[in-house]
Amino acid sequence: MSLKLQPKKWPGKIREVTLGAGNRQPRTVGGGNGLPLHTFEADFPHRPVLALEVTDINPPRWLDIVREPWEGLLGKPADAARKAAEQYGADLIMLNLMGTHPDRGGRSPDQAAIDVEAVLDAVRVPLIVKGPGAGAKQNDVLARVAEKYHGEGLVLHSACQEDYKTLAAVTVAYGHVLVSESPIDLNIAKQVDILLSDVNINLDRVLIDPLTGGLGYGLEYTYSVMERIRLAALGGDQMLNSPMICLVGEEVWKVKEVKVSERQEPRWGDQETRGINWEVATAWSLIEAGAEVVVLRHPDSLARVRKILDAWFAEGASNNTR
Amino acid sequence: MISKHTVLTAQKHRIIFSPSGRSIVVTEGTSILEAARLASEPLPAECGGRGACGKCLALVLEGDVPEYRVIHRKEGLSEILACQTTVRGPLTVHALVESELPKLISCDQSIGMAPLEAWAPWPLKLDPPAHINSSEDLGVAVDIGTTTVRLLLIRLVDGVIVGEASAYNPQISWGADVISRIIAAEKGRLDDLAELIRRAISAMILETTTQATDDADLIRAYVVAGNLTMIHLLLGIDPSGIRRVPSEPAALAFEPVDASSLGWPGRGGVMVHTIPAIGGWVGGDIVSGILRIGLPRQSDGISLYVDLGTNGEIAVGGADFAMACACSAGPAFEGSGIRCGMRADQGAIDGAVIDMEKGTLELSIISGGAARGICGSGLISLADALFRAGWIDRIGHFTDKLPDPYRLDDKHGRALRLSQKKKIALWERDLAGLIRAKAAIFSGIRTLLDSLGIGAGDISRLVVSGNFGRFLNLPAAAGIGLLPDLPPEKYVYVDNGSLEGAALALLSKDFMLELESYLRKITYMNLSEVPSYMDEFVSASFLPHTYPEKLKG
Amino acid sequence: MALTGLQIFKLLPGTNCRDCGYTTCLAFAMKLAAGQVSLDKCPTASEDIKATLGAASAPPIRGVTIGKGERAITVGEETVYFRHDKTFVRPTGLFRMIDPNRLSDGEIEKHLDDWATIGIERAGELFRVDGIAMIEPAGSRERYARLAEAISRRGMPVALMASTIDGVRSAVEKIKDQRPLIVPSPGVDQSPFVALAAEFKLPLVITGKDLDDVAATAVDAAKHGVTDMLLEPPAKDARELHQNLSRLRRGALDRIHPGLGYPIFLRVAAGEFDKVVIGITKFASLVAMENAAGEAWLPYWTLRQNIYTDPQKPLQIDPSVHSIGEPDENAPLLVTTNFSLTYFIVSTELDGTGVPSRLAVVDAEGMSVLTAWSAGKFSGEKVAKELRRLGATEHVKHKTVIIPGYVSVISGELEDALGDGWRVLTGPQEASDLNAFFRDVWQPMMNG
Ligand code: SF4
Ligand code: FES
Repeated sequence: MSLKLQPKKWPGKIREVTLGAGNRQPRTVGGGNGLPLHTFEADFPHRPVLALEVTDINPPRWLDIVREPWEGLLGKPADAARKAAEQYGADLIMLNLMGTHPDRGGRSPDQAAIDVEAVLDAVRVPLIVKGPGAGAKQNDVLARVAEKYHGEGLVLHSACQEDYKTLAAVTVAYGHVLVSESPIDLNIAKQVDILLSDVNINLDRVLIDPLTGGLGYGLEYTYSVMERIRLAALGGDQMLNSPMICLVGEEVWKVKEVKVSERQEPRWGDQETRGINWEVATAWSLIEAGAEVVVLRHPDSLARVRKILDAWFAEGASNNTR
Repeated sequence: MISKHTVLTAQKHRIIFSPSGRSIVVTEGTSILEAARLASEPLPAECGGRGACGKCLALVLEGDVPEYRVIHRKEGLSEILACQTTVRGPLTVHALVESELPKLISCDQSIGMAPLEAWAPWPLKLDPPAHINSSEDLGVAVDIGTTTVRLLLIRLVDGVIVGEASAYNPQISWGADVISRIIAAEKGRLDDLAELIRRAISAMILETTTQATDDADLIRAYVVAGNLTMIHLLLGIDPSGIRRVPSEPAALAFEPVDASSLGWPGRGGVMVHTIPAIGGWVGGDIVSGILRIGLPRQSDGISLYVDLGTNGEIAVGGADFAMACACSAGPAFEGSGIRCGMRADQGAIDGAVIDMEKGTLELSIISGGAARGICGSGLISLADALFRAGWIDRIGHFTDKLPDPYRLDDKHGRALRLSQKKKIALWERDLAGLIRAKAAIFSGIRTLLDSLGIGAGDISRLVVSGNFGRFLNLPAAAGIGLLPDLPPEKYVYVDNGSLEGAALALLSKDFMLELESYLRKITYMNLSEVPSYMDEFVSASFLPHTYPEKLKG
Repeated sequence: MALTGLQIFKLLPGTNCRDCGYTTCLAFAMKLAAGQVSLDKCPTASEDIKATLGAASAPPIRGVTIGKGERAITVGEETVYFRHDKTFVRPTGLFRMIDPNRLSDGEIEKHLDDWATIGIERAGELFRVDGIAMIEPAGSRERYARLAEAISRRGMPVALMASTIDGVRSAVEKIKDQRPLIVPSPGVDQSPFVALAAEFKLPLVITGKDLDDVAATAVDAAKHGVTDMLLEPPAKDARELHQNLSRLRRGALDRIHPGLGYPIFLRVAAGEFDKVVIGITKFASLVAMENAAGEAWLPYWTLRQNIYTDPQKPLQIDPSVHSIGEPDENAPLLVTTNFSLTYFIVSTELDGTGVPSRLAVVDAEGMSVLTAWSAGKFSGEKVAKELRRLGATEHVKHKTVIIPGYVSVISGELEDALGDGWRVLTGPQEASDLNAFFRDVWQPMMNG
């Protein structure tokens, strides 16, 4: 008696969104017509992509473990980006403009633009630009950058329900991609997408950031919300079928379990490997839940996740051993 | 700075309220809001003193307050939230938000009507449970809402309404919602709360009896409907069990009490009956309402009953079952809790139409004249018109389509200007309150229907009850996603199901018997225990809905 | 097709007699529909409804228990593909593999002593090594029996990773009362193992060259009297593992084949971190791991905790006072509820401020701040009592406690209840504003 395993077919599929344009080598994500990684029964024209995070200033609170691979490059975003792309194999770069935050020096939109320009000159991969976080400054900084580097298909992180109009406008006007952020809530994720499409953004230019809870710190909420978003998309919901982006690195490298040394907690094992494991486990779980763009901090984490993905999506990988 | 206050002294200070001049001496550490209450200064406190509503904003004219409590500085004076600021020395303070004093309003829309003819859901004969002595004898039906109290004075011998009154529930100064009232009672204010409502109702009785030129002592019986907290507070019974999880009210039904014990008129032995409740959050008001619409005698199909009050109540069912729940909608539907809100009364904006071509807004105002404020149905119509015209987005924020003449931006945020002279306007915050209220109701409806596996299409009749004065604009209500979008012939509007049920109970033994026997068939559902409720709520917090298909029948 | 509450209601007697303990037949029907109560609570239910409901209630995946006593572990009994559809019920058992061919008995005993006592507390759960998977030592049946017994003696469940039937029989005979799991090596003839499991009524792992083979073998084993089984799908790489785990779970839930309704067993070599992550997230019931160290176990346990938390019953933190950094007696003292997410967010943000502080986590039955307040679990009086009970008030000199901005309403009441010159400061509503709060309110106040 043989098993009749029917591949599961869905009416909907994930939108294809192209990151980077102009001088960037574009990278498309999305397009899958099945549950994440269910390569045995669905088609995935594009694999999930991995980004590394670089910063405009020397980040005040990064742990030594994540500083070490960037020795001498912290606060030099162009050099760090080059290393990330050329040596560490990042598919794209996220430039975190943390220095524009009023609490961290309050660099001006023009200074931010200089950093963006340097990174754009240093690498050809697509660029995610992260602003200082919700508030007036976020719009000033990102709008300035968007305007100045129009046509580069930058990924602007991010707009939210309460404040979306400014960034929506510059995304449309200057040909970028916008991240719509929601607080681990399927409904709000959908609402932001509807609001964006109401102001005439083509959702083929939108990524959803469902807000990442790191392993042990709300991962289960993010995981389930993402699974639900993905199911809605596959069910045909046109307002929830944007690819998802997860900022894993920044959530992982601040938690207690990666900060405590082996000397303090011998049972917890080697601190460095533990931290990387933490980042890999968070990243991989979220890829299983539907993340298409994953932003990491430690290059070793990237290498490890990349290795799994390479094998998974390799040409001629065991399609179906039945 | 800290050390100065860490010494606990029993020092007392005088607090003076401007401009009324009321003053009181309180112990150091008392909040200014508390001082206002003790001084009977009507300082609004919609959130009950949680620092959330901003209504207790006050200007310190004289004296010192802790620095970290200062919100703004205006011409050298500090603005503070009275509920958040404790007394550290003598003060003179001035309230900045105009308070909505409980107003007593007599109305006459029902006078001369006979409830048994007008409202009886099945043929009922006049057969009052109370003993009648003379043809002049009267009965009183009362509905105590969290925000509004309404009362009918009815001649028992022919069942004709001879007086009518309504007023804001004066307990509002202890918070707009039920929870704040319970907390106030827990903090030793039970007697004050009881006294407030009893007095308000007796004032309403006096007002209506004089209006009907009748003698208050001719009253033979009272029937009171209200949510269970309101009934507890009326009877002076500790309501704290209601908010426990799970809810453990002192009782669901109460023995009738002598009217004189509440300070209400009526010669010896006149009793006050209260309609029994089903659960801590589903009270006699909804029982009264679903009897009023005749659920027990419904021959087939399923009815949905929605009472749009501060405490929104929803029931679904038919002759052999009913399921009911309550949700906290907030006072927006009753014209409270919004900056220019008012009751459906003369001068209230109760409807709005936008001419898209001209880009103009037409208002309809009760009894014509200048607009004095916005009532619940006006708020719903406005929101619907604004949304259709694209002047607001789906979360109730004004868009750049809003024509300049209507634009207003002040310290309360962005708004739609509704009158030039007096500052009547609709702020984004008000719209947020409305969206929250409609989301609470609609998600309650969805959760109730989903848990039973009923689709909106299975509903044969949707009865809406609420204090909307003359009417509720049903298409607008469906347009903003407050109610499911059903064919118009399925909608029925009742003005106040709870009050009308109480009136029927006053006039018909049969009605009361049916009520008591149907009670057993009603199942109570606690929305906060339904895991999907929060999700439904967020989903409904959008215009018209995150999933517009869920609105369809 | 599951029946709705209303459909079930129509089949019930409709007398609202309350014998079932519910106030109405409808309330009872809703509980039945949700699977939270059994029909026999209604004494007057008809045969009709019993038949209708009974058919839909058999669990799609069998529950299997390994081990005896306090540390016994039950796996299986899952009913959904997505955790948000209900919940995953039986957390993946994480077993440590031991290879006696590389270790002396003395070394093994020492390891066992160590592993048996591991217990790391996190968010109300005790992380332990759930069991030991003992590989069969070459050439000595007695040694296998002795080692198996050494594990059982420590109360831990045993998986017998067997290459020979004789070896495993001797171990089974020794600890048959301890319900060991029999795990034949992949590729061996399984029929003698089936016979052994049937004879001793013990759980058995079924392997196969593909899923068809696994399913067929399971059906065959059932015919031979084995009732408790775990299925081990082929998993040469991460992708094949994921595919087979997914198909097994879906097949079991859809009841496409009687051989699929069992929990899943997975063995993982050293360094295959990704396979364990896939196993935990994607339906593996029991994972036997070679040589994993603390830096791997901690993420495994935590991941399992996350994935297996009931989405409808959020995690709770044990009430206590947590130190952030190294706070002295002048450090701020904050208070919040024991809802895990609230705690995690607040503590992580506090940590990020760089200001050493103390966070008192008080018992509010795992509710978030506002919910707890509405339900009366976070009133001034309750918070004061908890702060005293936890000793939070003893650590600081400034006698000031910072409460969440959303419950500023309790400040007066809390001040009264604490008495003794205590002051209450209302903090920000969002934890992300703590940095600014310390800078703009706390520090000026302390220095001023
Ligand atoms: S015991 Fe049966 S008949 Fe009685 S209330 Fe419960 S379900 Fe209804
Ligand atoms: S803010 Fe003070 S009472 Fe609401």
